[in-house]
Amino acid sequence: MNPILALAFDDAWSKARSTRMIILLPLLTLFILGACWGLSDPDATLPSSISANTPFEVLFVASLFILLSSTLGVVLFGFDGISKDRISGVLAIQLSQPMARRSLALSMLLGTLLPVLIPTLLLSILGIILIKVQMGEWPNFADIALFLGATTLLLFWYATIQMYASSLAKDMGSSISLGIGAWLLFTMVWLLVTVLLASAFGVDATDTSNADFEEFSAKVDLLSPNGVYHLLLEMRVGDDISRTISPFWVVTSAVGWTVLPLWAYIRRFQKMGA
Amino acid sequence: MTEAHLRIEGLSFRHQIPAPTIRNPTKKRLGAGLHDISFDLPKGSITGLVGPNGAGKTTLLHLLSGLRSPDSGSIEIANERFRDLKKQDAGRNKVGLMPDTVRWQGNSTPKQVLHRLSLMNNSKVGDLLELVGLSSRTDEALDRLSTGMGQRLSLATALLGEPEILLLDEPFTGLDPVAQKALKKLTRELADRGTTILISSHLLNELESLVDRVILLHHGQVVIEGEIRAIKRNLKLDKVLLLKGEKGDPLPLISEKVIHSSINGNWSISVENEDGWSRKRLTKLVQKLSENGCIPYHVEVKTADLSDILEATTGIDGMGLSEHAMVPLSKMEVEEE
Repeated sequence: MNPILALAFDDAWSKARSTRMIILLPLLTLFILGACWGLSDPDATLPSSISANTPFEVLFVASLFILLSSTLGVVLFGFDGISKDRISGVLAIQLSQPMARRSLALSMLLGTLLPVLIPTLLLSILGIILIKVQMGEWPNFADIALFLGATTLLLFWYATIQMYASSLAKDMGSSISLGIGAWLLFTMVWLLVTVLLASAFGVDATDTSNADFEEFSAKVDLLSPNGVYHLLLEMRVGDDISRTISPFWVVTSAVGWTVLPLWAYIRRFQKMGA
Repeated sequence: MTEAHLRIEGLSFRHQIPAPTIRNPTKKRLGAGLHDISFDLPKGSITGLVGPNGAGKTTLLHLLSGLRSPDSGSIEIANERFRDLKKQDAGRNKVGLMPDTVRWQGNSTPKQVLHRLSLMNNSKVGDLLELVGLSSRTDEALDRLSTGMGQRLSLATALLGEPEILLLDEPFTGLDPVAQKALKKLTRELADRGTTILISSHLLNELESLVDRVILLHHGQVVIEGEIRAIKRNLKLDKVLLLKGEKGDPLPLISEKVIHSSINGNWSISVENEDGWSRKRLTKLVQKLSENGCIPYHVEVKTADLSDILEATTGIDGMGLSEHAMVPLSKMEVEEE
């Protein structure tokens, strides 16, 4: 097997048997399966602002739960992905091995991504089966592919950000601060950032449901991995979404989020001392 | 043992210390480092890397193992020249590093650690754990390993891939006397098989009984380098003679500088000779004392150890040896922008 993949699977398997996974797995199960089952229940009463009338709309709303749980999982595994080894001195041993730093960086990144990605995808597929059981119909193949693909990209982006942040941290405190800080920014605080920017650019932010603000928020969301994830999914939701932004910008942003943090992470890893 | 297996030429490196300003948040200034390091290590030799704290020993080992890039200079291993081992995987393949006190943590086992590193090294683990005395702990969680066991594991990681050059940073730390002895034996065996070994250690007594030669670093420069015996001879460290005897008055008979004397029936005298104590000079003195009614019963040339060399060359100890400090002060660069 390719050494990058062999190392990544070895790392992922080690993480899969860790205490962190014991904490994470029930959370993922409850969030993803619970969301798919509950949202697709014909008898469930959802807030009027949430529309989940088709299988893909259920997946779209369930993606909010993935944003909360799976990304947190990546933070759990990634915040000390490099800093722990650096502090303990193990990183010096790893970096002195005759493996190209780029390859080592990629294997560590995949080793952080896979233990969250694999259960998330498996649970999402189980969720889709639950939706079929509840609603009697499958989401179409393109919808499923988009959902799983976008989810994979989202977790990849988070894993890259976490590993980059971890490579900057010199102690466990800054490691946790950087890891949780990045997650909080995009998951919890982004609306506040959007409102502040809207105010700065003269867009009415007193009513977040007005058309101008929604247009503006779609643009600002291009700067957030969570935002791009939702914009990718919104491309298949249809008329229920009032935000209109060109798919070109969404895809460009997705490519940017894939390439730029990865480039920065590998560059940082190549320069890094032990 | 004359062929240079590891040749370092003009190796220099300066640490870059973040010094952010409002105008330039990424500004860095140059800190301490290594200056124009050059030396040769013969194949199969064991060399001690000594020096006071902050001398640059670990930095040098990091440059030699590809953890850092030198600013200038080159490293030649078995006649193959490398400019920067950090970027040259083939060079790192020839070097094994045992870093200073690795804290092994987690539920992984030594076996799993070595397996993982062997994937990076493209080598086989083989009987490495047995070699370092961890065969009974192969499946024990890292959290349960003692400091000494951890050191053994670190050594095993350094031996992965049978490196030609072995760099050991403080290898004796945390090892019990039996393990220290075993480590020395193993090191000697590896050297006999042709591995060139560079050991940095503060445990000078342990080092002295093991190494063939020493490199002394101070302020990032090689202050002195060579075989211990030759260094002692050059520094004239074996210059104090301790004489004990009875009867007579030896003091008027001694023309050399007496640095300590105690005469109370029996006598005890320490005598210093700038040129050291050759057998001929020693015999002549003892003969002179005997002919004049003194009966010397203990004659000992005090042997300088590695710590004496360190003190003599760095002048750090402050025991009247600072005049021997050999650091070219004009070259001691201060931190600069």
